[in-house]
Amino acid sequence: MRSLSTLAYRGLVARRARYLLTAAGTMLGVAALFGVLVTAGVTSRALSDTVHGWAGRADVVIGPIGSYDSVLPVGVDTRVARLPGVERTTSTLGIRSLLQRGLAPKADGMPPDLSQDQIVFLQGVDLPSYAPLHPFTLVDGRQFHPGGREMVVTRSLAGRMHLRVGQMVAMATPTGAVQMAIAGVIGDTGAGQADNGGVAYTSLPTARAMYGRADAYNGMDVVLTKGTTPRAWIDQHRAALGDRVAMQPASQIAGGFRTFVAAVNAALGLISVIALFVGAFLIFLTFSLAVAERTRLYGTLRALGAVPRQVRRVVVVEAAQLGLVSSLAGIVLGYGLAAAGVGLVGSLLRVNLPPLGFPAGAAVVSVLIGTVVSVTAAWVPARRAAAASPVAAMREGQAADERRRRIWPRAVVLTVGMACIFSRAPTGVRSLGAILVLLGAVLLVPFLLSPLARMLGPLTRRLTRGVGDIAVMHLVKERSRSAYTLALIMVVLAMILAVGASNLAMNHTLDQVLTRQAGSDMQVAAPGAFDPGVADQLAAVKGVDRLSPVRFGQTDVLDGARSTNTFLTVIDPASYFRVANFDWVQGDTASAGSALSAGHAVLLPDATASGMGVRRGQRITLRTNLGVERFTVAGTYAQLGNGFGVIASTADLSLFGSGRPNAFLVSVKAGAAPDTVRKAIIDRIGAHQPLLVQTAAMLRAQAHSQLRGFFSLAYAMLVLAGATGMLGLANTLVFSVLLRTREIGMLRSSGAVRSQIRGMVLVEAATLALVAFVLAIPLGSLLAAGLIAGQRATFGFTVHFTFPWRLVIPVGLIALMIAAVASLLPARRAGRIEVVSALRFD
Amino acid sequence: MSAELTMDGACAVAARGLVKEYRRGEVVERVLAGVDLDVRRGSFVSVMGPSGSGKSTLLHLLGGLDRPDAGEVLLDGSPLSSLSDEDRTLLRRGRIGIVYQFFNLVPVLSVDENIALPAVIAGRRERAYRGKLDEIVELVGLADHRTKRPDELSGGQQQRAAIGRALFVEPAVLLADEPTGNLDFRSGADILALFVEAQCSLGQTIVMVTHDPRSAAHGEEVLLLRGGSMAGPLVLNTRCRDAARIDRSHEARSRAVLRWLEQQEQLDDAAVPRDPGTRVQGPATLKV
Repeated sequence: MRSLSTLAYRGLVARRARYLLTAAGTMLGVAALFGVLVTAGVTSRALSDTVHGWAGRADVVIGPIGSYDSVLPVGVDTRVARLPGVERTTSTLGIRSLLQRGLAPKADGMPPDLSQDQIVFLQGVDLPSYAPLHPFTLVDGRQFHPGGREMVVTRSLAGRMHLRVGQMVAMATPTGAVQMAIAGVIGDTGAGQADNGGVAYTSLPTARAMYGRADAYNGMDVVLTKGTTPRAWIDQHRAALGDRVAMQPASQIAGGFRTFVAAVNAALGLISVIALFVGAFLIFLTFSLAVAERTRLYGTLRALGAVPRQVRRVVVVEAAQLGLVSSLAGIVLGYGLAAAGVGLVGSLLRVNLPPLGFPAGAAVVSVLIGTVVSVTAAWVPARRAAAASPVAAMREGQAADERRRRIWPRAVVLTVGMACIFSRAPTGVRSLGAILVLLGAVLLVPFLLSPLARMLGPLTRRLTRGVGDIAVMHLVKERSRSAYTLALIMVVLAMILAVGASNLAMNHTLDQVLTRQAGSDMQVAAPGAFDPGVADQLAAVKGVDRLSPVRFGQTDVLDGARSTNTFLTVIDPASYFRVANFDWVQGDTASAGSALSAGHAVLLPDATASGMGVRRGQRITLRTNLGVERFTVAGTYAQLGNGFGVIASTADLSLFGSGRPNAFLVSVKAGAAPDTVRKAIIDRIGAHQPLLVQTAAMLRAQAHSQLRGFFSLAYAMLVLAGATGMLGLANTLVFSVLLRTREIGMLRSSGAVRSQIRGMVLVEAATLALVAFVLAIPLGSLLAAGLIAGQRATFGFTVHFTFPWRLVIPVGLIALMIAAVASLLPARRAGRIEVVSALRFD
Repeated sequence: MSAELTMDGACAVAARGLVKEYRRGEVVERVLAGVDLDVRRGSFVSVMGPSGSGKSTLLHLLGGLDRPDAGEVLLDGSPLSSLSDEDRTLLRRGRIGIVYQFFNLVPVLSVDENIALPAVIAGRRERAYRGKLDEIVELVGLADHRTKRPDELSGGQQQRAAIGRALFVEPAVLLADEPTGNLDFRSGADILALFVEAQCSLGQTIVMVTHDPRSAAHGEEVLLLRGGSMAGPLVLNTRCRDAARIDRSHEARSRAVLRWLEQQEQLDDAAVPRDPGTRVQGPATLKV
């Protein structure tokens, strides 16, 4: 044996059955971390692909201010190409279209199947200037010919819609439906990445013919010379190009996707941190038990001349070895979790995510963190081992923990955590606050265990006759060991309660927001913009009561030197508030409607207004088709997700584009079924006007489905944490049985039957779980309130916390289930102890 | 006699005016009330006393495992109690060997590894201590069990391994705390014979704590710890004489120890006042 560290390895191997439980906990924590890192990597790559798909090699992207069917002013392309710092440019004309695959009646004479229609972005490009920025990789067929009625589609689009080279399809355009041939299929890289693969390319002349204007273009990609910074170039040349164009660095596009990905990654990150915390806690617990069990060994080493540092190293090396092995196993499990997580996030974001790959860097980081966390968690027990008195070598049994504890530092930790959670600090600080709250609560548990066990023991001791009191008594007298096990269960239950309460509160608030924000019975949207006259046709459909047109576009919000491109919605205040409304944060319907009708007034999402430090009644600056204009903030509203963005009025329509509506909000007559009216609209108008009709119920279901998807990630992590908690409790119970082997022998020799001994273990488990449950309720509520306070940035609306009465019983049942399952093996072992060997046990 | 920090140069370990108190809640219990002790080099001293008399406490202090509240322990003439914890620890590595009632072997190490553990703690290379290890293993009679783990050994064999570990460092003094307390009669007798052999063949100084008069009779001197103070010694004069003669006289020695203990009890009952820090009665000598 070369050094005392050999003891670490031998100890690990000798107790491998018991350490298996602990290793499982660390494995789960590392699995969660690695799974999250991989998932975050994939979503970040998806974001990068999205940005790259649209921007390609471009450094700056230019588009028109105002509604989406606006075009860039004539001559902008020439002026941009001549600006200093420009290496090359390319112009495009994008049309949001509907690809209708089923053109002709089927062979059996039935009408074409319109269910296969899909919204597609048809991009008209000048291939020689476009291809260097957005490479095309043909995988089938050929490239389109300039001016021809043909296009290429992406491989993913072709797969989804069962398209093939040579097939004829119909594309909805501003000038009507146009038949196009599929000339070729391109790979899902470069140009094929745009719009998550939902894009088709044709020549610029062809697109202009579809648009009805020979000089129209609504997009420019600009490649700058080396060394030119996009933001600086934009600021420098803004004045030269005027205010009718929106310019932004290519890296900043897909802002909504970016924000949502950041929020999802932050949430996943927090959950993985908590999973690691629970795993680390299990390590701490296990090594605390192990050190207590091996007091005599450590005392012997000290008596033989080992200095405290050497004894500490034995424990630390043991923890490091355990952590390393568990972390490696966690990588394997984490990869599986990542696969599931990516699938879930993909359905949440409604995008095709890139393949997982195997990020070696993330694996190394996860293993390192898992090992370091194990060592850190075992540090305090290691110090206790090092502090073992050599006199302990002489003593029989375990050394009693006679250290005095002070309550106030622990209370300070809890208080600081609470302050962080409820502050307006960034997410990182509030996440730290959540960890501090958990830590503070855990540290306070030893002071609470005895009185609560004494109070609740009379309930649980009835689970077994005669000896139940003994189990409760041990808990009342025991401080450290059972207390920290209880704390682990408490943390798990509190997290379940917190996530559940957040989910309930957010579902409730979402319903309110949806009801107020949407309000209408259905939305009728066009892929591009509606033809004039559709409004009259819609109004004539049986069951339709009122409609209000809505126009979508974009604008720049100017805040000092900063310009932020943002989504724009133009509403008709005269009709909008008769069909729908907003979830007001500042302002009300009457004053907002009046201000909007008067013009030069806007509504802002409350999160945007807060970010800008703007309140109702103040003025903001927007870029319009006629230059920079000042608008009064007539109110702020709680926005659902990306929502409607800045709301402008048709009184200012001339500032924001051509004027054709992109959607109508529709209310149905009293007594009319929305689904029936929806079908009537599709039948009457859908035949000649591509449209998408969604009822309020469909929109609500969609929103709830997204929320459900978001929380399902959290619940998946909680299942992991729950499993870890169960392992911790099982670990402690096994140790308890071991420590009390002689006592059990004595009980058996005094007449206790095996079932009573098993019941004693169950009573201990149930009492611990019940005390944990009682403490989890206030802790979980606190965490929920903090979690909810931070959701505004993620979801765009303010969620109000209410105490989750509905969850109390389910969480209590979960606590009892954890106790029952965790006590199965230890109880069985206790029941099988032979009396004679137990009485001789040392 | 006042506690002077001097000792006879022939002493391996000595104690002067040792006081040790334990606080249990509000109650302060004075376990040692000023104990003096001189243990000559190469001698085998048994310390007896009833449960709770402070025997183990005395052993803790002599071994530098704990510090007295007053008084001093001298090891080869050097004060021990005033050293720092680290210095006392380092001293234990090479100067003090301890044998425990419950053996305290490391369950995951073999016999060889358990015996050589002090050397590993001291960072010595195996080739440097291999020879010494072989010698000790032979001495304690475990040559056929070197690779076995403690759970593969009998109680007696485990205690032999523990003695081997204590002897491995060639300690100035070997301290034994009820070494036969967990063994059957025959195994216990073997262990005590091993102590005698270590004393005779290696010149090992031994202080053994025991409550058993028969075990105590293996030593040269018997001391009695009662009420925090020391009585004795009872000198048995058995030093390394003819082993057969020692064996035959063991019964006589055991009876002598018993008689002496009874005398001490009678003295206590007569409430003869004692001056703390002195030996209660002069040495009683038993010639065998």
